[in-house]
Formats: sequence, structure tokens, C-alpha cells
Amino acid sequence: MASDKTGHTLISDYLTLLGVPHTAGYSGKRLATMPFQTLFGLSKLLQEYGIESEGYELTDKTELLKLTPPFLADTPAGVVIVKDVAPTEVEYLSQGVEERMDFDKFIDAFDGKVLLSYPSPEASEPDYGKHARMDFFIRAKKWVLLAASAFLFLWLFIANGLYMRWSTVGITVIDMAGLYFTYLLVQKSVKIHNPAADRVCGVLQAGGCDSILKTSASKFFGLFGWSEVGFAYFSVSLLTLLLLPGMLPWLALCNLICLPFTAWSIWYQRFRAHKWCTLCVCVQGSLWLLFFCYCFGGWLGMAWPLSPLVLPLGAAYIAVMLALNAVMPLIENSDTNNTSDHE
Amino acid sequence: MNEIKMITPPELKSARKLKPLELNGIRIGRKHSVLTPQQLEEIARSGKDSIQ
Repeated sequence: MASDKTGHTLISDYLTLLGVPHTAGYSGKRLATMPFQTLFGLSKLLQEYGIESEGYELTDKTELLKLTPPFLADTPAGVVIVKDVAPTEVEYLSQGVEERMDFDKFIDAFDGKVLLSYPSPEASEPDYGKHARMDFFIRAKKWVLLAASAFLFLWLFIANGLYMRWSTVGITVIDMAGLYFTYLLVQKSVKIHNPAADRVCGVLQAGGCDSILKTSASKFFGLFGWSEVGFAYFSVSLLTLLLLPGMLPWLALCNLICLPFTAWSIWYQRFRAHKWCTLCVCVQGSLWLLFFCYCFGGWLGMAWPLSPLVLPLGAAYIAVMLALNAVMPLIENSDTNNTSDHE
Repeated sequence: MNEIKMITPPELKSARKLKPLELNGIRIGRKHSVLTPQQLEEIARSGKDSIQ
């Protein structure tokens, strides 16, 4: 579809510039399901919004200056939304990104074909009120989930006395950081674009994360991505810490078991791949910081003698990792289907 | 939401109205990355080179 992964669609951006009330969800869905994925199909869809459109081919492309933006302009590589036209410069939107270009260079690239749209004074998305309310509730669901999770986190953090010791505060913070880094890595491994991940990845080496994730070493025996293993580790560690702080000594033991992996990862990046994955290095750093907290907090020393409780903890790590591994292809396919359905 | 833009049809001297079939030939469903000015310039250049 004419959309990108940040939610911008051609129709949503165009309707916003035309000032026509609409919801991103409904208009995006209508765009994705319209039978003709062409300017003709779009013009028919716009009619449903009370917007008449017509297409023109400009033999003299300088007549672009006579057109009132916004309008759609075709190029050999795709359609753009022209936001503003001046004798020196053209401002346009492509996949939701604003770009500016010299007027002369733009008319060189543009093939002369435009779609002009004329909204009526009452133009609006069909059933706009209903869709807007639905959109609000859908967005609200996310915020309610975040608020409830934050409340639960704070409750457990305080009720279980985790705030009382520097080591448990440190372990909590580092677990959360590790969870965030591995979440970004999991997103990258299923090719979900996240600007935050790109910013972090660019710190040590631009493109390093993507390069490492493409290697066979990014998978544990070809079965599990290390990003999934890491995500499972930090999520189970954090939840266990919050719900069962008595398990701290065995969390410390599990952390100790993970440390050799960090050495292998750094060695691999430095000497085999010759590329640095910033997110991966952040995860290794988190594991070592956790070790220092567990060790100097006195938790590692309490892990002996071993208790049978270490078994359900181990099982929890494995179960979450396997569940995530089972879900990952569904996320990847769902994202691929969203992209291909929209073509 | 902004006010609805009132756009009047322009008076064009050199333009030809596109027929529905011609509009139907302009796809918007092509998956493509952001069309930067650099990419558009390259397209324009390669278009001129192929004509020559």
C-alpha cells in the first residue's frame, strides 16, 4: 500500500492537507481495500468523502505554478503529494516525509500528470463521528495498558521493598534497560522499522546491528534468535524480581551462567564479523552491570547451596523463550501481509 | 483538524484532461521508499540519458 510503517498513508496525508475530517484507521483501511490501487481508484474513494477530483497531463510543466496545492503529482518512481509550489522550490510529501526540491529539478523528474481535488464545504469521512470515537478508544486502550502496567510495577517495587537496597534498584533499572534493548533487537530481527533502534545502532557503527542480525551467529543453533533469548531472559528476570524477590539469589546464578555468552558475542563482533552491533553491546553491558549488582549486593553468595526453586526459574526462562520463538514467525508474517496487502 | 481547503479548478493552457483509463494506469500501490530529491534527480537524469 502507499503507506509506511509509521502509519502515514497517502490518503490520510492528502486528506489532512485538504483539511477534510477523517480518521487514519478508516481511511487507511479503505485505501488498502479499494479495488483499483490507482489514481482512478483514489478519485472514486475521494468521492465518498465529498471530494471531486480530476487528472490532468501538463504539456508545459511550468503550469504546475498555476495549481493550488495540495495535489498529487506522478513521477516514474511513485506519486507524491505536492504541498507548496513556488517559482524556486517545490515542497512535497513522500511516504509522510516532507521534502523540498528546486522547482526546475522537480519538473524534470515529474512526468506531467497530476490529480487535482476539490473538496466540497461539507466534505468529510463517512460516519466520521463514529470512527473518531472508535479511534479514540483504540488509542486509549494502549494508554490504559501502559498506566495499569506502570501502577502495577510501582506497587510491586514498593510493596516488595525493592527500593530499599541499591542493588535491587540497580537490578530493576538494568533489567528494564536490557528489556528495552532486546525489544529493539527483536523488532529489527523481524524487520519492523523503529527510528529509536536506528539511532542507538548508529552510535558504534551505522548499519552494524542489521549486519550482525543477518549473520548465522545471530541464531542459537539456527533455532532461536539471540534477540529472543535476551528478551526472554530480561522479561522473566524482571517479573521474577518484582513478584518473587526471594528468588534473587537464583536470578544471580542464572545471570552468572549467561556471562560467557557476552565474551563470545564481543569476540565474534570484533574478530569474525568486524562489525559492531550497538544494541548487542548494550545487552552485554547490561548483563555485566547486573552481575556487579548481584555480586556486590551479596545475592550471588546466597545462591549456595542450590535450591530446587532454581528449576521452575529455569523452566520459566525456557518457556518464555519458546513461546516468543513460536510467535515471532506470526509477527513477521503479519507484518509482511500488511505490507503486501497494501500493494 | 484544519479548515477544509476550497480549491477552484485552474485555468490551464497546455493541460489535457486524463481519461479514467489513463488515471487507472497510474498506480499508487507501488511499494517504494521515501522519494528524496536526490532520487528524483537521478530519475530525471536517467530519463534524459535513455532519450539520448
